[in-house]
Amino acid sequence: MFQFIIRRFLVLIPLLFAVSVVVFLILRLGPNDPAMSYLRLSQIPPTDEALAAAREFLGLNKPLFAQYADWLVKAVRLDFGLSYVTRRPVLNEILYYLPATLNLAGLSLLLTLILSIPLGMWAALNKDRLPDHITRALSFFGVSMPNFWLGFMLVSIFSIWLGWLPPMGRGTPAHIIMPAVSLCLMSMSINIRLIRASMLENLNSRSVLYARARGLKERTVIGVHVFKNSLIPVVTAVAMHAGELLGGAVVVESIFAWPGVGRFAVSAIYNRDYPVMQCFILFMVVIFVLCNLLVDICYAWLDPRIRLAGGGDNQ
Amino acid sequence: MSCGKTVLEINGLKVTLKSKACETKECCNKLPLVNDVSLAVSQGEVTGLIGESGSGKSLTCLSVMNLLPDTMVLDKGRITIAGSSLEEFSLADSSTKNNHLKNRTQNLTSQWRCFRGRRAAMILQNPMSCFDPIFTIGYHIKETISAHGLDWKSHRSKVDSTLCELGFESPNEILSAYPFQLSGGMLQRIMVSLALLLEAELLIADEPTTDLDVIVQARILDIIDKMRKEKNVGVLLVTHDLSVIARLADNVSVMQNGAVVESGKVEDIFHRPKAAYTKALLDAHFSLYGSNINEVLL
Repeated sequence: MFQFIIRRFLVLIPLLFAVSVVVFLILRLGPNDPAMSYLRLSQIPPTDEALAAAREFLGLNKPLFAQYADWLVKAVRLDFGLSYVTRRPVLNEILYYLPATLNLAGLSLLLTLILSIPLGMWAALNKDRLPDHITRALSFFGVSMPNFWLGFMLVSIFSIWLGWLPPMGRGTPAHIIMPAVSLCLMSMSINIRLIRASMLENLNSRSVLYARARGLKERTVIGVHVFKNSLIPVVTAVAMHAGELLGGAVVVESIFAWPGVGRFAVSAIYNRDYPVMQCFILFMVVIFVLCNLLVDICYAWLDPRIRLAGGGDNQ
Repeated sequence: MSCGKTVLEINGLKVTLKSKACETKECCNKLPLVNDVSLAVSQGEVTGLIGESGSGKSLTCLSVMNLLPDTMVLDKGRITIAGSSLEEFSLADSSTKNNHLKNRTQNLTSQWRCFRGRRAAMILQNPMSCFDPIFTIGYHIKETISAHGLDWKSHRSKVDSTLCELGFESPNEILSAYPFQLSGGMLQRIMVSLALLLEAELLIADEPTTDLDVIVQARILDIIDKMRKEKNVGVLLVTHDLSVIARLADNVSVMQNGAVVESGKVEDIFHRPKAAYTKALLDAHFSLYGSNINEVLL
């Protein structure tokens, strides 16, 4: 197991290197000139002299490879430069906003799992009956509804019409309800269908038939054999949901004025604040990749076929 | 021929496909998958069930264990596990109305659960898919004997001796292995070991030698033969292989299209077949393998 984790860590190094190249190139090869953005945000008139001075200051007059090497060396030391807008270190800014995003995404992930697992099981155990139809309708609604539109609808109903929940900001537990629901609905809907399909597949497996033939209690058959086997694909999906929730937070945070890193990134994109954009994308990729690593470890822990791959021998 | 008590008696069994309409209308009779099947298995005897694929052999076995898929229903007939030490289980009765409304919930009574595994054990084909790959063999055995109220610790020595009896030299290694680390033949023997551990009186072997090499096939058949001779277990043996029937069975039922077309003593079926389908089955077998069956029977 330890070797498995080491192997997976080693795979991360070339992956993150490749991502850093892509992130750097996408932003540098775009139509906008970072020097122009720097001057605009610094409220300096963009004369030729000023542009040349800005390029010199930002290192943009060097060859692209040299620019990348400078950026990478600093990035490895967690130095992502200063924000063009706030003039403060980018990493500090992101770490300042990150807790709010993790709070929102974490709660959404928790809601996704708490609601989707029982609902998926309920649907599978009542296939083609009313509970299955109800959860199917809920899932289709959740998958079809864009989270920004759902956010607007929730604000209209619960803040403007009913006046039950605050429409924006962060402070009390009531503030997080609508953003979390908007964010988790799609992941939850996908998860419900995934768990249902996975459980039905396992319910019809021969190992379950044999478990019943051995005289196991139905509670054991469902609760141990079907449930644990059905969880394996769900664990994989959780990594994707983590990415969806962090990515989705960018939109939801803007709608609900949630002071998270997503909203900070959106304002950075509007302002063409290149250091912030680069750091944000790389930061999200690292979080996403680490989530995947964690899931791989959980997967191996749950499924001995993965854990013992290459180590099992026929006796 | 043994005159042991009957451990399994099936009378007029009918299995139909359940459709949504069947839950509200009595129209299940339209699609009989198994129709009017009757057979018996006595203690210490092997009753063979032969027939082509789709003839209803496996459905008959699943009906006995009350493990039909949700899409099927035991519509009519009586399945009785009779004898001095066994109470009678009546799955369904032809006189009972709305039998087709029986659902999984009703089927999974504790009475049936105790019956499964403890009194009637099953050996299935393709054993690799019959065990849960994320649990060890030891876990499978432990949860099975615990489900029947037996204590794992006090039965540990019996588990070891049973595994040794079935040819496993290192029981501890087997118990800590995962199913995917064992071969099909080894897993088939694990299934047999569960039947032996729980002292089942009826063994339902649904194509136990399919997909196994001939050496392992011979070993499994020897074990089944030993069980019926030494433990007095009644065996319902489902197979395509007439050589297996010739070697092990005392009585044979031949199934075609969900119905029993002929049944009788194994010698009668092989030497004096009456039904055209039985003759065709035997002719096909002889044309492929010669007349070795006659040598086995003689």
